[in-house]
Amino acid sequence: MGFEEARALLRKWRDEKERRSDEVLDVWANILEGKAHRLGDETWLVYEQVFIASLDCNQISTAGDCLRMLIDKFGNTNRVMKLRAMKDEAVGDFEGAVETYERILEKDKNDSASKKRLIAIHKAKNNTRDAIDELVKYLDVFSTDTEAWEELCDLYLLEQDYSKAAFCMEELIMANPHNHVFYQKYAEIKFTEGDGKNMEIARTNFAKAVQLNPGNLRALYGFLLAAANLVSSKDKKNNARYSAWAGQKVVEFYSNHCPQKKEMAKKVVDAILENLKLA
Amino acid sequence: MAAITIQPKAFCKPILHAAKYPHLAVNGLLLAEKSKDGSKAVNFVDAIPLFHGSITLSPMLEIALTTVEKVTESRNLCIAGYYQANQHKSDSKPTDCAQRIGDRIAEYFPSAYIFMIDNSSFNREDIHHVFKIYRQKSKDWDLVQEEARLPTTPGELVFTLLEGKQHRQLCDFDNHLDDISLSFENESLGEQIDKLL
Repeated sequence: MGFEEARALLRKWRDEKERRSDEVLDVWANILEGKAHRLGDETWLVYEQVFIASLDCNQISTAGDCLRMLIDKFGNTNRVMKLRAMKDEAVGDFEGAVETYERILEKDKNDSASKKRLIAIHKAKNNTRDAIDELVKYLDVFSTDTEAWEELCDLYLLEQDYSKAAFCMEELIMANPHNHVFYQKYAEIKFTEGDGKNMEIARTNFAKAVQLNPGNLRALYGFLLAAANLVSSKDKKNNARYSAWAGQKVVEFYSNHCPQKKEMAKKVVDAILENLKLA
Repeated sequence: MAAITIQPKAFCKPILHAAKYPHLAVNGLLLAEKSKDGSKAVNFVDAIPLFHGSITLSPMLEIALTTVEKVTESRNLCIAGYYQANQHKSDSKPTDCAQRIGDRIAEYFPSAYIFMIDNSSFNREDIHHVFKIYRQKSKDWDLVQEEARLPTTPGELVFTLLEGKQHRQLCDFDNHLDDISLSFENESLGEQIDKLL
């Protein structure tokens, strides 16, 4: 891989917020390190990215080198102080980290990054309940923070609090009404909650996800399962029709994109539809 | 004779799965040979990685279980166990979700086991203790005291694969749902493992 390709790859991972820390370090160590001056505007973003990746992979001395470059360039800005505190977190010095974040918040009480790091420390200590409580308070203030709603949803799922997890997805759907993945995840949560009403909501939202993106296989399978589950309890005729349609679409999908697995898909669909006859 | 034998693929794939997503919970199924003489000894021969991140939601789990059942039928194997690595480093207790999946597997395979990955044993010295194995006693899942029979030099095997970045090649059911050309049976990884033996 050449320099430009490596640079583009790191940019792609930054933009898509991909956590591929060991690969970031490979790209840095094998291609970009020593040529960082050629990165132009991206230099400091890359140092920050490599810093975080190093912490993730327990390469504390590489993290230290990157941090030194950033301190030399920017001094003790809030963003650099946050990175220092993250390094403290990585080596287990949570007290030191908390002190730094609180100091930043004294200067700027709306520094959302510091607030989120404090919540992350609760997660690091396996205090899911405290993380949830603090994140709920955070979202009272920063109610449009998509990443925070997604995190809160996952924390509720850890606690098996499906109705509150579903609420988080409802907030995300309201703010992002064309995101098929949000409808699909909402449907999965409703399906997991179970019971008639939730299963219908699941079916509707899987259908919405498929409508927005016919290539969303999870949504297609989800629609098939939800309709199949509803055949025995209500509107037998329509749900049977929906599940037959969905089954056909799944097999078509495999037929178009991976024909060698079409037989396997057909067996799966048949098994699901077979269970309907027993219901 | 050991009640539980874990062959190389069944040993390595769950570990590689956890290594591919170190910051997330992962789970998967364990496949065993069908018991020949009604013996309770279980020989785990392979593993199918399922999900990473949200591992507690049911719809895709249902699809995965049905799909893996169909796939194992043709290989004359059966689903005999379930593995899970929790997200937090210090947490290796079977969650409610793990137990429910274990219950479901045990309906069809009474000698089913749950393998919880002990995240803190992820090093050369301790890797042979990496699985905390649970067996169902009435309704609860209890820690099994006896040692499972492992592949020879398990540390050597797994760390050679990790150093060769083979964990990046591993494909789970989630990856398959994103791109159906990817195979959750990981045939070529299986060949790599066989080559190392």
